[in-house]
Amino acid sequence: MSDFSTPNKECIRRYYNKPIIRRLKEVYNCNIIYYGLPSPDAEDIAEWIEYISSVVAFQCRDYGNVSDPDQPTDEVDKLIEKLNSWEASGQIDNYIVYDGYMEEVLFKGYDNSASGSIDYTHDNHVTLFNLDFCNSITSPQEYITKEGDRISKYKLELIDKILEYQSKVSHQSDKFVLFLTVQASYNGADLHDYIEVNKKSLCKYNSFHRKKHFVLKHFIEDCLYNKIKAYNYIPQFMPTVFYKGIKDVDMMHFAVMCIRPLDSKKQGGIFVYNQLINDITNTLPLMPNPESEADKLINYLDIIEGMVHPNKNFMETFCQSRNVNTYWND
Amino acid sequence: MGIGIYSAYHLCDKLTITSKKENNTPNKLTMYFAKMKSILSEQRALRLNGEIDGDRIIDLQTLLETCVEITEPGETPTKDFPNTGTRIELSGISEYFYSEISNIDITSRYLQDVLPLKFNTASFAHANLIEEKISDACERNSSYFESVNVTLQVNSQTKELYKPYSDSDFHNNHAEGGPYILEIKDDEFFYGVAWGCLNSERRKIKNSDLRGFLIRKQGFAIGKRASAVKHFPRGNTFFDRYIGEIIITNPNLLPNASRNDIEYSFMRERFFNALLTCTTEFDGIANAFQENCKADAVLNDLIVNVKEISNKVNTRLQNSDELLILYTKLTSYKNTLSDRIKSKRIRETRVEEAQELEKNIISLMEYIQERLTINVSKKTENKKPQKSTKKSPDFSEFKSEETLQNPKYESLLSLINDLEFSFDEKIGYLLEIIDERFIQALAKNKEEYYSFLLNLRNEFLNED
Repeated sequence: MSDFSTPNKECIRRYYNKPIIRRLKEVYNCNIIYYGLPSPDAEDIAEWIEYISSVVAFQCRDYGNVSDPDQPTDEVDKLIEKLNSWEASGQIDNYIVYDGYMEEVLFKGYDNSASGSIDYTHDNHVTLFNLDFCNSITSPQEYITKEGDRISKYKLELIDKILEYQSKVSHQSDKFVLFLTVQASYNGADLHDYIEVNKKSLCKYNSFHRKKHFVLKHFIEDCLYNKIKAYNYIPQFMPTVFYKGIKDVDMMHFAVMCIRPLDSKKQGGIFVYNQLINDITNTLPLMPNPESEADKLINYLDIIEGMVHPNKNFMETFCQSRNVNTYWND
Repeated sequence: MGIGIYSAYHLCDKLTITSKKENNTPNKLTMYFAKMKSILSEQRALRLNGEIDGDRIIDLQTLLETCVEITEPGETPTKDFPNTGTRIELSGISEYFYSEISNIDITSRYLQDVLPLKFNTASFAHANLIEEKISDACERNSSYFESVNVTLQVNSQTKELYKPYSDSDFHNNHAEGGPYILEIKDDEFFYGVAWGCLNSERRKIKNSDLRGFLIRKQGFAIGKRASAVKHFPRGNTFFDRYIGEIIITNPNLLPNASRNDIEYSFMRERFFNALLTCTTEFDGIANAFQENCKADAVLNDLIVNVKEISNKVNTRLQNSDELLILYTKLTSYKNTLSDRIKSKRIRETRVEEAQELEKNIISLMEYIQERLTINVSKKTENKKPQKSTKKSPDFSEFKSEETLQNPKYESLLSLINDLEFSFDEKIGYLLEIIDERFIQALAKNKEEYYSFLLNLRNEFLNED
């Protein structure tokens, strides 16, 4: 197991993410283009490789430090070697690795490759985003521009940018899934502003054990919901997963299935969002349970008034959802 | 022939070639160019500082043994490279070449010229026929020819590569007849095959990059297209109206080191002589097409003009003077047609039609003659007008075949551009003055101006 994997993480990849990807590929005939932060050992890609046709990966050289041309490229080279071997063996069709943090590549428009920077392009509709961040949603990523300016970009700005690129290449009935993993960390000006504005709706969490986690979950779900809608996709949230990551750090994993609906599906000139934000935020999380043979995903251990446990067979719930019946089943 | 692996020395840090034949395990060759460069540069520095003598300088064999890895048979498991074929990876591309090599369009254009690619059957109607005929010719002459499937991948972009030809490279989106495929051989040897597709108009191929013939040894290009024109007796006149290739399959004909000509050998001159027979034939085919086009234009014009006269004669004309003028015109048309029929300058498929037209013109002339006689007798004898015993011939069956639509030029410059002459700004300015002061000044109206330009074009093309 690499530095970036734990039994919990493996359990989520296999029993939570994989069924979603399988459905996209096998039921909806999506060509799976992976886009994300796979880590040098690319364990997530390895787990899903039977479904993936191409890979767009971002790999920084020295995690935690601002990119610098003098940093060794070992991590990037390791990932390239791995992907290259999969390409040579015909397991994937092609790949590209951008040298740098996703934030800096997307906002600068090019990466830090030593021989000549690779210009960032987003020409194809991505079907699988795996934004597996090791830090919190409110942690900024710094990078240095060509002019030498030091810039900070936040994860939510990045997600916005990704959706902006994606929306330019999406056609009607195009589908994708967005996986987002962040630390359950509570700091950040954005979050505090949000709490200030939404005090009323968030006060229900005051009596909760791990109240801050639920406020953060609410904040992220609400942000994702609105951003996805803003780019004319219909989101269908899967239950959020809470788990312990490396060094027992609390982590959260989100999964949203999105579709750009057909114009013909408009009702009264608008698209109806059948899954409401309250349905999403009032759903308790699932948790990985790698030790168990039978129940790899279990319900959150507490019962909380006003919140409901999701169906552990979350794919069944997805298939029966009104969004899927309205927009996905053509 | 070498595969040019050392060309990659300057391009990248590492070259890996993995190859697998059907039912074999894969083989892998890795060349560490960065390491080679580093060793050589280190040694050069030592040598310049006098810290190493000539005997201790690394020899080529040691350098290659240090920096080239070849796997033993069976060492690379099949699962690592399960597909049959060859994969070539260039990694650590030099920053000096990176921007060009990472541009998939530039790289694919280069590869299309130099590699033995297959034709794109989806965009080029003659693709299969040409491939079949080349294979047949080679098989008949116990020669070997092969083309390959190539997939180019630059970063995350992937493209299947084909020869660059498509129907849209020709005017009217198709070639004229053809493809013409000729074997290059003499009494003793078979050298290869030449194929060519002629433009469907008497003009140069639209895409200037593909005009003419490219000489290839098997599929690998030798020189550029323009360098093959010297083998065509009529020079660029017909060469530029073709898209084609001269494919050498004879193993004794080799390209020179820089791949811009054939290496000197006993066979080289013999090959060029045999090639001359083919290129003469290609010129002949294009010339015949040009003559046929001209003949069609003449015949079509005659049909239109004669029909017009016939209409006039049948409807209103009784005046002897006017009849006489028409008779003179018909005489001239008849002579033109008879000359062309006699000298066989009529497209074979339209000879009968031309002969029939000739007969009808003669009938019309006889009819007019009789009308003239009646008119004369009416005047002299003042008798009642006699009825003509002859019938005016029927021209309704003659149709001027649709000739290619004439372009409408807005100016002399647009005409010259269309004829694909290149000129600089100063000459352009001069042409504009000529256009304004002379051509436009001479024309009474716009229609006449257009027709002047069109006549100028036709005159030029017919001279061509």
